[in-house]
Amino acid sequence: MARIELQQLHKTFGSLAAVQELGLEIAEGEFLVLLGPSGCGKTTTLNMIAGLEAPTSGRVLFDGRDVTKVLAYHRNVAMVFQSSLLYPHLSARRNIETSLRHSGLGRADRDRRIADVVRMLEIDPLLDKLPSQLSGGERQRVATAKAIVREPAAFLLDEPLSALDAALRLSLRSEIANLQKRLGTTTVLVTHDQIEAMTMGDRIAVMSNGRLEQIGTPDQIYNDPATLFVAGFLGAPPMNLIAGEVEAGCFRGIGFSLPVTAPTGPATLGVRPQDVRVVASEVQGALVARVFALEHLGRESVLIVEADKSTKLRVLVPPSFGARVGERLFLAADPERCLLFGAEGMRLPLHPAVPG
Amino acid sequence: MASERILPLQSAEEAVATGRRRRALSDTEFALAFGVPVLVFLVLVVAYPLGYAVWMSLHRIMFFGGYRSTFVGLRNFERVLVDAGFWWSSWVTVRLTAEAVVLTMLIGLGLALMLNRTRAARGLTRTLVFLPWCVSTYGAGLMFAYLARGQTGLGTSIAYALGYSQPVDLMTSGLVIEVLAVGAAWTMAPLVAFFLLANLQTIPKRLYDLAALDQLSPLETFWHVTLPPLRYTLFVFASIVTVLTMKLFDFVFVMTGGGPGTASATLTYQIYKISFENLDLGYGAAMSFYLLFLIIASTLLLYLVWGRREVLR
Ligand SMILES: Nc1ncnc2c1ncn2[C@@H]1O[C@H](COP(=O)(O)OP(=O)(O)O)[C@@H](O)[C@H]1O
Ligand SMILES: [Mg+2]
Repeated sequence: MARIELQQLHKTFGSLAAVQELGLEIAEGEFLVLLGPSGCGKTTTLNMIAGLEAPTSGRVLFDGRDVTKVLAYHRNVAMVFQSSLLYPHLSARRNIETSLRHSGLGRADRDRRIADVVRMLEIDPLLDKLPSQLSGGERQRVATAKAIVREPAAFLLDEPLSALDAALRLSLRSEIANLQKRLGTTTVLVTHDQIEAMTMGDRIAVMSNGRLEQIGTPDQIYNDPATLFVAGFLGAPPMNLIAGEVEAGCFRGIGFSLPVTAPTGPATLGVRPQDVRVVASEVQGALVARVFALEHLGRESVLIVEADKSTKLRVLVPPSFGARVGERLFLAADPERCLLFGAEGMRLPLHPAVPG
Repeated sequence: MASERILPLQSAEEAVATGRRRRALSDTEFALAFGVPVLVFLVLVVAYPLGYAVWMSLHRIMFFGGYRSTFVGLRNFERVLVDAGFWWSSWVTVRLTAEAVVLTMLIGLGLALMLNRTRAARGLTRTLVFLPWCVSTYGAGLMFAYLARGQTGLGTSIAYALGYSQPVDLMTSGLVIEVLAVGAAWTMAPLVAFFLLANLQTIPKRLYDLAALDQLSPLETFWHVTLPPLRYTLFVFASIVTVLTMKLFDFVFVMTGGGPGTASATLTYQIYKISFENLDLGYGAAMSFYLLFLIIASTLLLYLVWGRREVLR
């Protein structure tokens, strides 16, 4: 187990800056999820933690020790790669054994460790199969066993579930989280799937374009996003983002206004679908919109309305809600639950003077 | 959806069939229509010469004093077995083949690994590497003869460059087979390299990261990551190169003429001499069947000790 620090990490490929000014700290035993869209530098970051890629500048520290120049193996990290990569011509057992080949452990110790992980992951019947004879989920387990058999200081996973079908993802998600807590190994998991991030991580680090946008608990990231990017990236259905203008203590967007105390200038107002209500008649500051579609999700429905030609908003409504496409209705947002972002996408404080 | 797409097709076919009053072919008729011409062709091209060779091998054929052939049964085959020249040529053939196969595989693998790495001037390097495959064995034979001979060869230039004053002839009875093997490998390795290169490019880059995390040595990494996807191709080409080398004739003919003495008289060369210089066609035909057995036996052996494992995976 290790406490991992990244300090001012930069990585450039030619003229492309894949990771920039990345600084974060991962506590001992913590499960950190690196979340971001594809191409934002998550894998590159993980590679630098593992020692598979050397940073262009910056430092990587394990337990306060600078390991930036230390080779991958000597950092004692274990990794599970995308689509659970294994040596294709070796049986599951030989694959797991290869992790301990150069560990310096005696035969008896190795056998005991392998027996332990085999029991823990219930892969006994799979041991003599080749990776090509294993299903996606089985391969994932074997790859996990191969990783943890080394009792690594850190456990790094690069989109381990992305190649699996939805049902399997769901069950393996909780299995990995459960295993991580039982082992207590410092873990970094990379994903572009916000649900995976929200459900598995102790904390989430959201990345975009090689930069860290925000790091925090799932609750902080969801309810208190630091940037417009984070606000838009997390949540399903996604947060409504309304472009507008702050003028004389009032945010003005498509046909409605909200009193705020923020500096004058272009701004974006964000409000989650569950914080918007359909109201009976026009109240002050309410928004007029036309019904565009109604999506039934079972437990609730998502009402999609068109506020103007280019702006669609989503509202969570009870499943009993009925509406005809094209129908006009009025929406009101809970001003306490609205978020305001400035021109650069940074969060602005919002103190509505009068509830709308 | 599938049925929607198939139905109109069927009805269109029926319309054509009834409209033009043409009967559809049954499966058997269809198979015959396509199969028979091919079979006829194969019979003409393969079976006829083969049958003719069998006929010749059972006869004593004479040209001098008027063409005659007399049936001698298996006499020709018996004569081969007690012919010291045949056993010598068999040994030369086996030695040349073993060396050529090993060299071709090693050079092919080396070229493939190199091509897989080079980024710069990729098209140019690939063209250059592929060129030897495009040179005729005849041309290659002339070139290697030139390079190996004492007067003009590489050995002499190197020896002179190092300050020795004796010319070095590589075309000696002790080394001539090795020179032939190098030449044969030079022409065949590029093709092997390109097939291996195609395999190399299917290896996920991440597998090398996995090997790094497992602290595998370069040799272990080669063995566990690089080699496995190549093994089947290596086996297939080992078989192909075995067959091609055992059949190799023009190269030997141009380069060494079986010499010095009979040092490089391969079976093909021996058969050529018996059939077309001594004009003992029946005996030559019988010997060519021993060559055929040798080729079949070697490839079978290769399959049994190596190929079976690769095919099974
Ligand atoms: N070895 C490399 N050479 C050049 N560019 C690379 C290399 N690895 C990654 N990149 C680029 O760096 C960026 C970040 O890549 P990556 O870390 O793989 O993103 P993610 O894992 O978040 O999808 C991408 O634009 C990618 O094209
Ligand atoms: Mg990635």
